[in-house]
Amino acid sequence: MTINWAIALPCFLTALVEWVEAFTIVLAVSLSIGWRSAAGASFAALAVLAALTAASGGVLQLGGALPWLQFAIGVLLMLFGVRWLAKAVARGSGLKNLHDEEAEFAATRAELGSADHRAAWLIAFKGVFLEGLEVWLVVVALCARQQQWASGIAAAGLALACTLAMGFALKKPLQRVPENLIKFVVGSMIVAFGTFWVLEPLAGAANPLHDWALPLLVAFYALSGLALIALFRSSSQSAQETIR
Amino acid sequence: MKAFVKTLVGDLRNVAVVAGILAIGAGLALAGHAAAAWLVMPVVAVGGVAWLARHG
Repeated sequence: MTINWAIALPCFLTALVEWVEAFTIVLAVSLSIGWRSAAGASFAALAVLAALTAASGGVLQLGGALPWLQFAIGVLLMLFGVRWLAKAVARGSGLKNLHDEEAEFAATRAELGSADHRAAWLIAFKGVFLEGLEVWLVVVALCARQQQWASGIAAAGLALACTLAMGFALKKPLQRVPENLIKFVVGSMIVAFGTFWVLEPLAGAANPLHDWALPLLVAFYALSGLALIALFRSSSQSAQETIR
Repeated sequence: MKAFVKTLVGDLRNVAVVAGILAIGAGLALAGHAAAAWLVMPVVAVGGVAWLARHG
């Protein structure tokens, strides 16, 4: 099996961040209803996600070459990538606090409060399903065009295995994953893919960047993101000095 | 259902920003300025990211 790294890498990184967040929720729920029930809820959510991937993969295999479908997938990637990149820029520049898995764990424990078994099971199911939905979106969107499903699905599966291995070894919320750095890199890549897929069906023939379009777009978004972080940090520092 | 939709597309601000980016990019492409769309849309997208980072 040949790995397409341009697909496998963003799928792995996206999945790693999302599975870590899902693990935090499942860990919190397991303290209320036990590991067996929490794991059952997780597997149920993963089964729904697997079915969703198979169904959407089948549909896209039929119409993957259609320009309107490429455009639609490009729009979904823009919606996903723009918000990830914006959040990463906000957190990198100090406009927002970094994501804290310990705080999320405490918030989930508080939400569980006096929740009964069914409610806690649903919290675990919903947590894994919603986090996994973002993995599904990136895997389907990146794999559909070139029909390179093995690379994307294997990468997402590997990220799940890594998360479970780290989680069971530590048995506490996973803090060391450099989430914001990953979201910044993946956000830049996904916005680049989205831009490319939106413009190609509309203006592919007039592409001035030719084969360099994708790597140049990724570099442009990443460098622009870094410039925004530096700009917001310096304007925040200037504002604080003015107040003093 | 709300959480499902929000996970896929983000909040209203995110949808509005992306709609604006797409309107400009697609608008240029469909108006016969296809090459310009490839150069302008990424710059507009960065502007959208900057706005969301400050106001998101």
